[in-house]
Amino acid sequence: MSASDATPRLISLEDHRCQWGGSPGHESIHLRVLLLITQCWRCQPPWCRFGTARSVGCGQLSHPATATARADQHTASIEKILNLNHDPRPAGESHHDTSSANGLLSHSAPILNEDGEPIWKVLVFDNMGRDVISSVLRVNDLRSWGVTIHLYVRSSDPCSGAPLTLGPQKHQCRSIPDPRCARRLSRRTDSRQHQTHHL
Amino acid sequence: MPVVYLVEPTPANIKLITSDLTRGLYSPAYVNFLSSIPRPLLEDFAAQIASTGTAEHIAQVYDQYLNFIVAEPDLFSLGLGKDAYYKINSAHTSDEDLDAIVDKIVSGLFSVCVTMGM
Repeated sequence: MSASDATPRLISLEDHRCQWGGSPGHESIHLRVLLLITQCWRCQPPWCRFGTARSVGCGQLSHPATATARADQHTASIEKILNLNHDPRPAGESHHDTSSANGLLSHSAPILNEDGEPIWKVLVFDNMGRDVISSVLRVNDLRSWGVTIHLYVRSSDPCSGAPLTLGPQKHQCRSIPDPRCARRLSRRTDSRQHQTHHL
Repeated sequence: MPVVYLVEPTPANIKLITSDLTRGLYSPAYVNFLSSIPRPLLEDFAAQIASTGTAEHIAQVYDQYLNFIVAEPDLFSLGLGKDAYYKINSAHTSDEDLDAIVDKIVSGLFSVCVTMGM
């Protein structure tokens, strides 16, 4: 199956989506789900590993290099988000960057502000966002992209898992964006318990 | 401090983003939705932002096609949850629930296709 065959299928997915606009009965929905699954199965079974014996016949798509490229594209788009939607990779550079996968820091540099410092930022995600990110990036990868705190969107405990390095002075706590967090940290510094909290 | 939101486009999440911005927790905000945000929801978001006067805190609003999980270089999941198979096959599932699941499957597969550059 060549890449040019794949384009019409993508459009037909959209066509089916338009047809689903109404409120069809159960039978017709089942039929359409089956249709969609069959359609996708023809190319790649979505719940099946890419590049297994079943998909060997799919040619280009099942080539191991293509599979790696797709995972890289996925990682690259997440890295682009963390880089405030600026493309972190210079034009012409290969997307085959496995450095974050094998335990080294990424080669791509985070976006800098006008003083040449990395732009430190907070990352807020929900369940799906956490699953998407956590499968490809680790906390120290996030750090290398300038993310100092990662929070759950509905978190009642906004400091959980936050990699912070602060001095014990109160004024440094003011730069923490969540006031509840700053209050708690101030209490900890007041009670001289900061050694146990890795401040 | 800048904030990057990476959330699904749901009314609840939009409300939480607006409430964060109203409390002035972060500025600027870079909002990334995992899948394409429906037009009515986007208009709702815009109305909330306009009514709370927090428009200057928003730097970007992006639709990303990332609502699938790459577990390994050659394995992905649509993240439908544990009861997706039951819901699709159960006679007790309402039409709305079934529509929501089908929409999620379509949107997830579409995202995979977009990311693969097909």
